[in-house]
Amino acid sequence: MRLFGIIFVFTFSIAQTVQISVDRSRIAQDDLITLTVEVTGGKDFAKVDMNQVKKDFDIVSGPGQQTNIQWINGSMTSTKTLTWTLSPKRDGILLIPTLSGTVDGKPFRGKTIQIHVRNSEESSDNSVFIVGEVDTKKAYLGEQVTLTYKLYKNENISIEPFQLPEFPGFWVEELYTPQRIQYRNVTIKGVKYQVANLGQVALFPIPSNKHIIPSLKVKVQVEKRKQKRRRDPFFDPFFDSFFTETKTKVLRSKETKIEIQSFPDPRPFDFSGAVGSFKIVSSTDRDTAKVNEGFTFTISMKGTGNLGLFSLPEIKFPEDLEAFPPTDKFEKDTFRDDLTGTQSWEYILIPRTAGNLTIPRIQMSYFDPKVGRWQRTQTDPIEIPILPGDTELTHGSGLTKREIELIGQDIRFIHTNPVEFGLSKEGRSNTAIFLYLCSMLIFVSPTFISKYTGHRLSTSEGRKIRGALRTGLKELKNGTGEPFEIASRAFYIFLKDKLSLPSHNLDPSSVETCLNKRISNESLNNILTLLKSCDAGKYAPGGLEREATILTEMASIMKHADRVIV
Amino acid sequence: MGLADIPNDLFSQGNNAMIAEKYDDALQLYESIIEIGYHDSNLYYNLGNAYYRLHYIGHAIWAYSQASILAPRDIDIQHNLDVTLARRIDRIELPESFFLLKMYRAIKSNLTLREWIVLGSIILLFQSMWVFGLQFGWFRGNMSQSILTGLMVLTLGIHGIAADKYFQNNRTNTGVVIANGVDAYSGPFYGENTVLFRINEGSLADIKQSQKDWVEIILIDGKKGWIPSESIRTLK
Repeated sequence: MRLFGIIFVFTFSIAQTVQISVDRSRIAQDDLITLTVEVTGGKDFAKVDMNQVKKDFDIVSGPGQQTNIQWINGSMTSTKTLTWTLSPKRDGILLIPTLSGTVDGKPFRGKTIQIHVRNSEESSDNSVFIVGEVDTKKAYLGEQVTLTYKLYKNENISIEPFQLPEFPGFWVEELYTPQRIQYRNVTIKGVKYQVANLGQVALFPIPSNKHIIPSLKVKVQVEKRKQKRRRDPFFDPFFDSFFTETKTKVLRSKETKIEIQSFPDPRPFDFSGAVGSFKIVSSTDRDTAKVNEGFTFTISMKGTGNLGLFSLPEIKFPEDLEAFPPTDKFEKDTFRDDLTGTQSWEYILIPRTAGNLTIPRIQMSYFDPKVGRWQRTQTDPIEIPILPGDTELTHGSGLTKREIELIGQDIRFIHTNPVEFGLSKEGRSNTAIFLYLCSMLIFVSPTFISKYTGHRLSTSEGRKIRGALRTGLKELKNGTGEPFEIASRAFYIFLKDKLSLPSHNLDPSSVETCLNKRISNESLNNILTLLKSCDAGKYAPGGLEREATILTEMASIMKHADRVIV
Repeated sequence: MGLADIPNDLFSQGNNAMIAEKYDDALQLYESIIEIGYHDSNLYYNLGNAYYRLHYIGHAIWAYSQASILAPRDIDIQHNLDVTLARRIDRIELPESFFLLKMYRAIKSNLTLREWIVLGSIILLFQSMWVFGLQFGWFRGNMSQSILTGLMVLTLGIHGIAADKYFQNNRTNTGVVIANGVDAYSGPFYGENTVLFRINEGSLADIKQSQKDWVEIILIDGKKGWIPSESIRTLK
């Protein structure tokens, strides 16, 4: 190995030296460099912390250990060497950072080493490369992105075993893994290449903050023919194969960023994450069933898209049907690039009541990225007559007797008579408005009628005035207590109604003031005399002889008063 | 053919489609009559039958409810509504309400708002005539007074019911859920863990407010949540 690069020598004591070196400092991106840590005079290998290096470089192999012992002039020198093969992760000026470690328990620190990495495309060497091809760079969440890694070569190479990288942010479904690498011939820009498919995966973006397809790393041995060895044309064809030189390279594909598009609004309510193109069909295994006898109900979804990444919207079976959790089956159709297949769910259903059973319609919305629109697929409802079973169990469906009766019934037929259609905005009723106006008129009409005809209206006061005599006579007849008391009270009640007084708590003098000027003095005197004698009879025993006649006297005087009081 | 014949023409076409069991066609025809602004209880009734035959339980309940609002005493409508309601998946049990309240509601729903108003106006007319008679002294005595009081109570009561019905129709906006397995969210957007409950077609719900593509509903048992507006159909 030619020691090209920079050598740092650290001397701790006379006995131990540590050298850190790389074999070259200018490389192409697909080239490898060898990092060597050599300890001279130590008892053991150096212990080196390589974590810092991993930032910019991949460790392709290592550490390799090698011990040399030399005897020079009788003194022994032992050299213990550790080697790593490193592959740069990117182009530009990369640094192998300060390496630190220990030798025989003593620490050491190295210096940073600069490595200039050329972009492999700029380098003239385009003989071998890997490309990660995606069918689209813009995808919706759940839309399939097909990724194919292809190896192009026009030199003899041998590929070491490799693994596909992890795909963070994607749900991965492998479509193709080569058993044996097979090449086809293609021509790109006039250069003949052989191309091989290294693997194909279907990637479905899942919610994540980053959607980057990482690069695939493959280590290859490139055979380089030795130049200008045409010493003997005779031997050449045969010996050529022995005289080839191999060079190890790490090939990387470019990272690809997938841009995630958001779904158009509004999102349908029965969207459960399905993206692609689907159709659902449901079926039962029989046409009729008996109560408490199970039958199977199958929903199968056929389509292309992120099958397996979403579930059906929850199915609500009727209450008189017992459903067991479904078994889920997925058959992949392997002969396609798009993930295609049939997913089916099988339910065991046990009807608990007889009658016509309807298994509801199942519907699901999905997003079709090809047309960029929401689509809906739905099954037809299935009707199964349920015959009565051999033993009818008491049902616990929570239905009332009336409801069960109703479930067994059909709806009535349509009404076919021609109808008078109304405009739906029309809300008022002209009849009602007319009737309201009429009643208003009738309410106010008496006022006008009385104004123009002079008719006395029957108000409650008027009715009272007219009924005053009757009320007074009734009191005379039915009143309780002493006759004198009844007689005077009856007159006061009569007078109160007749004159619309506020109260019937009157006495002869207030009667005098009320009736003064309204009737003749003679009548007034008669009334007052009678009232006074009533009072006298009430408080003095002297009026006893008048007791028998006082009521009839009062009646006649009241009748007279009713006539004369205007 | 006059303009007024169009709805009847569509209606008879729809009926013929129903008889021919072409329910999809019938549905389109009936819906187009509603679309151009006409309505009738028989139209909604037949539309409900079309939806029922196609197993759209939610739509059928919507149509029958609409018919029932227009013709509350039609026994066919009531029967079909009951049969359809029995086929719902969700059953929200309500506590038994006070019997007077139940009676009041039964009485109130027995007539349409317009019928209540007409009835109220007839009673008011009668009352006005009675007052007229009293004032001219045609009726006398305590009996005629009590009749007047009775009439006043009746007028007030009927107009009270009409007002109640009017405000009920205008303030609350009731809808019928027309889709199965609708998740109700706590806000007008698809959140992550905010599904409050799930309702199925045929459930009645009051619509409290609406946002773009979303409505806030209250179920009769008091649950509140937001659902996409395309999953509910409003009763008018």
